[in-house]
Amino acid sequence: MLKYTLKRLLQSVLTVLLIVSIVFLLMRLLPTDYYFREDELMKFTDEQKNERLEAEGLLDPPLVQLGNFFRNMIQYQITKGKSVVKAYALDQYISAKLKGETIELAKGQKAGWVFNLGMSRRISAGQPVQKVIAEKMGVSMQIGLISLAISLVLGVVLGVLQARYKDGLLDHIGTGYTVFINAVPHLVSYSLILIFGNQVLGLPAVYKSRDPAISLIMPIVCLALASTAGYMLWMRRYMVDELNKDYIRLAKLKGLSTTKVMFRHVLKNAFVPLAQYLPYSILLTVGGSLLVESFFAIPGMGPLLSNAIPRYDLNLVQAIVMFYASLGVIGVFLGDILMCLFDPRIKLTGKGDVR
Amino acid sequence: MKKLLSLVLVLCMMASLAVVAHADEITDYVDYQLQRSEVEYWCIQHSQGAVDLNVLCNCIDGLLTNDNYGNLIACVAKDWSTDDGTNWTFNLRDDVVWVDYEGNEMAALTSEDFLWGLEFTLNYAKNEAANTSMPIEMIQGAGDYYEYTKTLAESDKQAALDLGLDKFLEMVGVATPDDYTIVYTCTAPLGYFPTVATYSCLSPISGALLEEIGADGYRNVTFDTLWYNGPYYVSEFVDRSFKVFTANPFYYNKEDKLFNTVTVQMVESADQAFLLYEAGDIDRYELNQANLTAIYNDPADKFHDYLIEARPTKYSYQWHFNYNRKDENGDPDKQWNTAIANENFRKAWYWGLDMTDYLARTNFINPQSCQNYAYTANGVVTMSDGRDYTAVVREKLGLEYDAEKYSRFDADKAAGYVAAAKEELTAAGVELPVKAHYFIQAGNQTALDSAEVLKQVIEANLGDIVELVIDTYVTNFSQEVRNPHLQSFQINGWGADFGDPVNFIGQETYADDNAYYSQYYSNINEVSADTVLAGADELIAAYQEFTALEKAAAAINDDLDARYEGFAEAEACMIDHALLIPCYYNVGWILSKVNPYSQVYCAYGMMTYRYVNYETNDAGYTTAEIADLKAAYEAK
Amino acid sequence: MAAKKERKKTVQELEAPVVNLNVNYDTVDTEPKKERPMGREYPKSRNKMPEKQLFEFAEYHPQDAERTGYSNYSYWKSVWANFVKNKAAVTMLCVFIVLFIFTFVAEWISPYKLKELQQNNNEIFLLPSSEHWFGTTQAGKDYWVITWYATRVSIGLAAMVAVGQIVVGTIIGLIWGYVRKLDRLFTEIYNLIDNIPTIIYMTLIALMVGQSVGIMAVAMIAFGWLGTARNVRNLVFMYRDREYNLASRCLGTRLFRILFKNIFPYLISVIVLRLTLAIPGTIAYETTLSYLGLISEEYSLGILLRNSRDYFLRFPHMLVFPAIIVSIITITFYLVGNAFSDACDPRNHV
Repeated sequence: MLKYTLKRLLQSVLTVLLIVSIVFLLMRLLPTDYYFREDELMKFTDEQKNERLEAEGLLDPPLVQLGNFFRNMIQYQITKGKSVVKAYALDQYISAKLKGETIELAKGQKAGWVFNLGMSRRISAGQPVQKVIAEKMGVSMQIGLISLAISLVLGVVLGVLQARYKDGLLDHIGTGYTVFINAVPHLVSYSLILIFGNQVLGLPAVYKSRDPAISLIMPIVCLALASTAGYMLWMRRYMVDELNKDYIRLAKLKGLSTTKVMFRHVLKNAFVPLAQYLPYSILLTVGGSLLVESFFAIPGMGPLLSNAIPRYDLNLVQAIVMFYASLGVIGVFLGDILMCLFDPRIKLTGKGDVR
Repeated sequence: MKKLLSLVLVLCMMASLAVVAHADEITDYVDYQLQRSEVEYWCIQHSQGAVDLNVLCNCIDGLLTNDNYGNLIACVAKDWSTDDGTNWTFNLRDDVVWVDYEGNEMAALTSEDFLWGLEFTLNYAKNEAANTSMPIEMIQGAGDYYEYTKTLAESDKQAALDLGLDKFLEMVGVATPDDYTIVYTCTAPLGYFPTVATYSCLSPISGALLEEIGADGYRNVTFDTLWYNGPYYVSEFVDRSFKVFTANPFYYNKEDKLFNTVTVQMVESADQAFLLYEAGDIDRYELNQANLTAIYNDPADKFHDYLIEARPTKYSYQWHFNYNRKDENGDPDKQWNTAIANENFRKAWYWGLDMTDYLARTNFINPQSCQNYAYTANGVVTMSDGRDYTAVVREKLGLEYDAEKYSRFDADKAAGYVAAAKEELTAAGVELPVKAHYFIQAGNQTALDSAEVLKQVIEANLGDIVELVIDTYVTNFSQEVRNPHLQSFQINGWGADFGDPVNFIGQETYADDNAYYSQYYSNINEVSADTVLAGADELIAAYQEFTALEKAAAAINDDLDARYEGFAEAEACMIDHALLIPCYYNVGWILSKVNPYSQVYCAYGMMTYRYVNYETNDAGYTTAEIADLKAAYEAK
Repeated sequence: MAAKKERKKTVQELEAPVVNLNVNYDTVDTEPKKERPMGREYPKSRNKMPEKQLFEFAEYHPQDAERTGYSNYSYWKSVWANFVKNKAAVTMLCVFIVLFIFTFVAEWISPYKLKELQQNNNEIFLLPSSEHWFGTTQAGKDYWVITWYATRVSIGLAAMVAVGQIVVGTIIGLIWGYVRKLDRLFTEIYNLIDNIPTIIYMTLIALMVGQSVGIMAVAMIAFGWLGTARNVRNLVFMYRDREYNLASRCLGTRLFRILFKNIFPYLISVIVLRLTLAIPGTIAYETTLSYLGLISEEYSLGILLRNSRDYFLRFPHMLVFPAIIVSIITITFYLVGNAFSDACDPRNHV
């Protein structure tokens, strides 16, 4: 198991690095004019633009830039207060040490190894990108987890009920709900929720950091509406599939009560496929939601990527991609483990017979 | 009956007075911005974007600032003087201090802080070439120092970052005789230099802060590391959510009226902002087309009586013709080039367009308030007798200004020019109507709507000689359209960084590498007998006439009035030849609890969002109240 | 599995909300990276025997191959017979067909013509009336003509993208699933593309190539085939080593024939379902792309919805009409897709 885990993690690290490299090179395809803001573009001559780009190292060949990016991923930094006085890339540090240079610290300076993905350029100018992401993560996670909890509970319960009373009124209402939620574009349903919440219930139309509780109601409702529909749908599906199996029929014939059958046997088995995705969903709450967060002006992760790309905030784009890719890889892995726990018949390391 | 009526009237007036009297001032002001205009750089020397300067003009005070009439007023400098316009001496206040984001006093401000500021701006390693153009052009030795740091940075970046003031003082024309005096030496006599002193390139940096966080640290400074010397410090900031300005307790100018706090709420869309205004969460709202239409057309709407016409933004919009248009293959489009080189054709364009419908796109209630008859923006320069510079230009043009109709439009005059142009152009071999290519960004609904109106306007008035073709570019106008010279004309707004007409019409002169619009838009310098079928010489002659006038005016530095007269002469000449055509101003409508006439208003610089001396009314100003306030403002 | 997979995307709304309501296969969708073949491997020893001893190749006769047990069972007839049993789906399909025809007729019966629409400052934001049946836009243009035209554009785009995605996805999925040597390679490619947020591709394409509907359609196809391909691949895994295929291979049937005659029929119901769900999915996706400003087209349902964002508080008609049409299209395809894919499954034909 340990060997398997290590092998898989190593593979994942490689995948993530490959993804980051691809995105790095892709982003270099973007015309450099995006580096500038509109008012700068209007007034800059071409020479002025080139000076700025040169100073930023953006005129080097992309592969050189990529090399620098990986070289500087781990840095030995000398800092004073909050700012970096001097930074050594790993190879610079080693060559300095080999030459026998000592790195002296002036008064008040500190030194240490840092994982460095560069600075954000425009979204949060001058901040290390990890810090930018860390700041935004919290809010997204808060909303995400609450709405995930709500929708999971609601979705599973309603899905079970739908399966229990299949083809009954509740089932039809549930199906109608899922169809409706998926039929109306999110942009429209959020607008409707906004009007209703704001005009009828008097809820605030934007997120307020000072008074999050009340202003979070609408975003959470928006998020939960869609994912509840998803959980309902799949819960019902798995339950119905499971209900038709022989062991359930046997259990019923042996005289177990329907409730007991539903909860002891069906639910437990039907939950396995959901369990696989649960860690993933939980991790992904960190990623936030693009539409909901920009709709309610929530300072979260969701719109970060789409804001960073056209602003040429390349370091940030890379960091976000790396972050999402790692989350994805870890999420899938945890999901597999969780699935094993729920269903002992499934083995990750064994060969052949897997469900 | 009369008695009764008058009684009722008096009662009404008293009631309305009571309402006015009842309205309270706002102590904690809440403004809003769209999310996409979030602040990006907190380093004022590094920033060149309005989104940053709108915030930082409340935080970092430079030498001078502007008031609600656009006048230069004292700020950190209490007075300023010059010998012949070359050496400018600013005497600083001695009670200005730097505070941090919690309002703690950190250090006193001295003249050295201004040296650090300019050094930072010019140092290539520290500031990466941002904001350098104005000081390099105007301050002696600045360009040399910039080149020096650039060379140094290329061999040893750290050495350039570690540069102190010694080399800077040696090379650049700045001196600090004592802690509260600073003297700038200009490259030539520059009468308008004080207006530059409002702008970010001459802002101070606390030497102590720089010492603490280093130059790299300062360029990447954030609100909680920055030190403030302005009326407010930023006490809270959540990116794309909100920011809070708190009144600086150490603010030196006790006469300025400040809010206790100013909160800027970021919103997703104009509609969301309206919901917030309706709920009383924000104190100002720029109406979008939908809300404006609905409120204006519905007398029962609760905001119907509260519609306020905003003051024009600082951009003056112009038609910029391209005198060397090329087709997709890169060959000169001789048809268009010949047509636009013909003065009658241009004059037909100038006199023959009734732009009312187009102006209504920006302001449908009062389209004529968007009229623009000069190139330089209103309020950039005021003559010593109080007249605005643009009024002088208008006099020289002999234009009657009429607020009721589109003043310039003259169908008879235009018909004459059209006939003349037709005859001359047909003789030269131009097929009429000639195609004019106008480019808008693909997917921009507003631009498309405007372009369609423009097409309707042009073809209704000049259909015989012009056919407008609306083309699109994907993302980048300069790369896709401007560099290959594809556009026939472009409508562009220009805003000034300092208060002198040279900042405007200096961009249009002939055979001048620094003239931005000549170089990038009109391409006038490329015009020759090869690019047109006929008429190149007349066009160039007109340009030369205008350029000579402009150069003559720019050389006058001792007498500002004479200088401005000279510029007005040049500008009138340029417009009279219709080398370019003034187009419009952006005048929108707002709902506001702030009297717009009390806000800082200046057509150049960066002080527009300085939250100082606002007159407020927490019930919101009505249309009628603002009309009175406007009259009072204009009378003053 | 599609709906659950959505959470995997960094930006969940960007993904088409693909939901299948009534599926009876593929309940546990194996992740391709997990290498979990559904069939059994055959013992290696078999390969060691000289082939001659096992079988002789029979000569291949196309007619003989088809000649086995004849019945008057016709696949598509049964599909149709099964489909029409679902009254709701049939009704919605009729509604949709009427709606689609209407996108052409609407302009013809209206006094306004799309090409002749003029800006009119005096008629902006008119509410629906007998004059303007859907009211007017922010530019004073007749909204009826525009809405129906936009519907046509969006349906065209959606159909193009859906067909493209399915064709590309099916072909790649078949090869991926059947050719063992390529599995590793395809899985890696899949993981790479899938782990990079789609919005990066979309933004880059929009900023560098263009934002017209055509370009966006190609982009959506280029990154949208992944789901179908993986789905198909898993099903191929399930069927490729069944005894009848083994037999077929031993009889020397060519690869293409095995793929398209032996395996493909099993996939029809899945493919049909994916196809029908891809249509509303594309429309929803288009809305989001428009919201982000990545699509530029004068009119499409996504663009209308985006534009109405700034107006709908005061003029709800700007939002309501396109929203209703989108909803009708979406619901139709959900119902029709599920009913049709059920009908396509031969197991339901008995």
